[in-house]
Amino acid sequence: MATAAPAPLPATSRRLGDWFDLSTPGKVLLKTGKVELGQGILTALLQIAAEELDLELTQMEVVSGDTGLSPFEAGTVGSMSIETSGPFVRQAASELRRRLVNAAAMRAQVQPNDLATMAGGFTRDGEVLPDTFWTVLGDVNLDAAFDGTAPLKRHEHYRLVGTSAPALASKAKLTGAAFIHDIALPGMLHGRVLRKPHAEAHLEQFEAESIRRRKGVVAVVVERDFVGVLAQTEHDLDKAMEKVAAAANWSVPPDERNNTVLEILRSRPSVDAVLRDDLGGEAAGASGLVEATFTKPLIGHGSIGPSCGIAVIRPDGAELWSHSQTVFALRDQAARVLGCAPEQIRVRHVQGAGCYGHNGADDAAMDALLLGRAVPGRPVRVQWSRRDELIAEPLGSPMSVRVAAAVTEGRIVHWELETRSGAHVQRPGWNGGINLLGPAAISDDWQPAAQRDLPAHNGGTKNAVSAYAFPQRVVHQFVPAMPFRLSALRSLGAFANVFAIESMMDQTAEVAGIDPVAFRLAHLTDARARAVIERAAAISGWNEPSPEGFGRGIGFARFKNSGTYCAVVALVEVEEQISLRGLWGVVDAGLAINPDGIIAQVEGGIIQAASWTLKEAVPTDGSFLTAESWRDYPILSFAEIPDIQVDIISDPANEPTGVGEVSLGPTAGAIGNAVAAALGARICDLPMTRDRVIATLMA
Amino acid sequence: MSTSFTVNGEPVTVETDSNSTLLLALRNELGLRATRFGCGAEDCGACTVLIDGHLHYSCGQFVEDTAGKQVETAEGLRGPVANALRDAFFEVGAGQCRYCLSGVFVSAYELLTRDPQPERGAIRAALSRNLCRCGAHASIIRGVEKAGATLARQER
Repeated sequence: MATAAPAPLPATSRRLGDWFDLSTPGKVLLKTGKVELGQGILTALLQIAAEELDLELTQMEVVSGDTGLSPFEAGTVGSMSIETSGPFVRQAASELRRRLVNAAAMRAQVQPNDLATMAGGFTRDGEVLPDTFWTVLGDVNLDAAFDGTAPLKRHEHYRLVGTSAPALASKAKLTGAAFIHDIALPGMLHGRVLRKPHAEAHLEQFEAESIRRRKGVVAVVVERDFVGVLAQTEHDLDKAMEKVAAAANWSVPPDERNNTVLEILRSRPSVDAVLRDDLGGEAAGASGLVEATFTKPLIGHGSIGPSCGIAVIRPDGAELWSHSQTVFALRDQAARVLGCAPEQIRVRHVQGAGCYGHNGADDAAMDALLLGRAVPGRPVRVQWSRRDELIAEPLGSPMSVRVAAAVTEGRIVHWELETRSGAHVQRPGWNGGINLLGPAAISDDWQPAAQRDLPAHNGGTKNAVSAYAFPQRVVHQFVPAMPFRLSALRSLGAFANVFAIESMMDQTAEVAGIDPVAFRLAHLTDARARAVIERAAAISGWNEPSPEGFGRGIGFARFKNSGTYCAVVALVEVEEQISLRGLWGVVDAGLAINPDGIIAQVEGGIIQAASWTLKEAVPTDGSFLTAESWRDYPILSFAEIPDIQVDIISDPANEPTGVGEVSLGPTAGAIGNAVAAALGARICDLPMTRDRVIATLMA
Repeated sequence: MSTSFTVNGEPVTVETDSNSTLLLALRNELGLRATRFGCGAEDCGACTVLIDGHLHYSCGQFVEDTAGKQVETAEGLRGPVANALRDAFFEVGAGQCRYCLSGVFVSAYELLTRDPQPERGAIRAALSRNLCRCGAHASIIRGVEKAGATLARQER
């Protein structure tokens, strides 16, 4: 297995003052382009900065994701913030400390090495100097760039990194306003856009007058296929929107009605690429091929809080508030739509509900901006309905993964994998498109870009190459013309690819007559990979017999084959439906910055993946999305949550790696294998619903 | 139309259209924003409140139907159960994004008020009227159990 090189530092400002502001005495303000999505990244970045500066966490403040104040950083995506932004913040903080110490040493006429720092003060031989960070500030040049040469604190001296600092501002969320949904600006209007019934639908006719006459309606905006309403209150808006759908007449394209999502995926042409081929033209070994095809449906984000955005048109540009993952990209697309320079737009990140990828956040902000053009100077708040969330947000692509393997003398000697998928990323600005619903409804110039996948080993190919040691041939079949709006959803293609690989590992282990844990270990030399599997087996009572009707299963992956290691064990009981009876996870993410934060992310990933595995599929009729409410898209409920335990293996000598997406694929593998163990038959199609259990039992 | 009721112990009168929801009145007329919109269809529980001590989805409740009643919201809950629960949620880091958490908090408060040391199964059942999407269920259940343990200590 290849070892990962440390992630390169991101292309961003190296001017120290772009990262830190000390103008409030007693406080150090960290400015970051990364944003809080509920994953605890701001807490982790503050821990890193406070560690290098020898400050208490209470002395740190943060401004995040404000295009007017933050340094440019690429989006908060792909579980990369700890790997890329973390080392950068660490270097910047270390440089800040060096400059502050140099200034204090100059004043005290001592060598910088003679000084120590503590809580914003300086000490020399244990004696506190009169100067502080804030009194020497006048002698510190924050404009100069930093070069990354400041010495970093040694791990063995860490006080904050490696401890579980509580997430910022978590108390406010129980007691009042805390989310973008809670912002109320003076003179604010409420708006919403009627979503098209299909991406290729066109508005034939719209009865605007009857809507305009409704109580509280301030404006009805109709531009080609864009229909939006502005009203005085949320109640007025809700009542008007109840009538808007009926006032619109759409032409919809002829469609593959009755075709399932998977039939559409299989029938449309693909662009194929060989990712790896160790097999040459070799045929399988003498024992013959074990073969299966594993599938995953369309999956939604389903955040509990709907997408929400606020915008106000200013004489010289616009201001937006958004829970976007990519505030700078949103700013650039807003500038494009208004025909102004990016600097005339200010986007401020405000927390929304949980974010698991590219959801409707950017669309809602753009809706607010487009509607705001009708009422310059007045803030417009757009909050999507639950139905909007279910039919208009970007979705995770359906996938189909065929695996064929052969075993000889207890080892896999031949492995073919074909992974077929639509696109996994279509964020604002990607591939040159705005890629947002509102603009696409208004102008031919603002249509989304052609769907493309990410480069090899990302997107649909993420974790398609197996980390196990055996000769493999891996092919990616990319289907560009899928009739759904597809973009990034937690772990991208890794979820289906790992589900397929881990299922086939168990099928081949069974052929070989070897225990699934021992079989995996026999194909792994990486000590860290082996350690997470061994620990997961140990804490889950792997060798204990299962009661009748129960089954245990394991799943493993190293995310991207270069990031965090994760093994999951599931215990299930299967009657007519599948009940989770226990889940265990073990991760090795290198140096653990905030252990509780890691456990929360991994535990959350395991439960979300369990929900995807057992329950979730976006309902469709051909290429039309049909869900109206949560009842059409059920997710795992509290009643279905088993006891769960997550352990961390942490060696500070290893660079920290992201944890947000690592547990999804291994969980699907573990549950699938546990179900197969309990049923004596395998379910290859997700979700593993009651109907599929019954069909498998009857087969 | 004008409706008078009690919110968190204070008498209030709100002017709304008929068929306006209690959720919007709490958030927009009374500024109580811990009660949140999630689905508008009584499916998710983000808008959970107590009306005369009983759990309700405020998105499905008309303001006029609360006339003369006692409404309690997440920000207004007081006393040993609310304090134990609030502290426990904070100490165990319950929730992830925490958008659902104020609604969960009201449901858990109602549970602990009638059953101060619930079994884990009873906690799961009671919270099943609320949805969580971050997969933070286990941490929330740990928080309710911890609050139960605190209440048990206080009883002794």
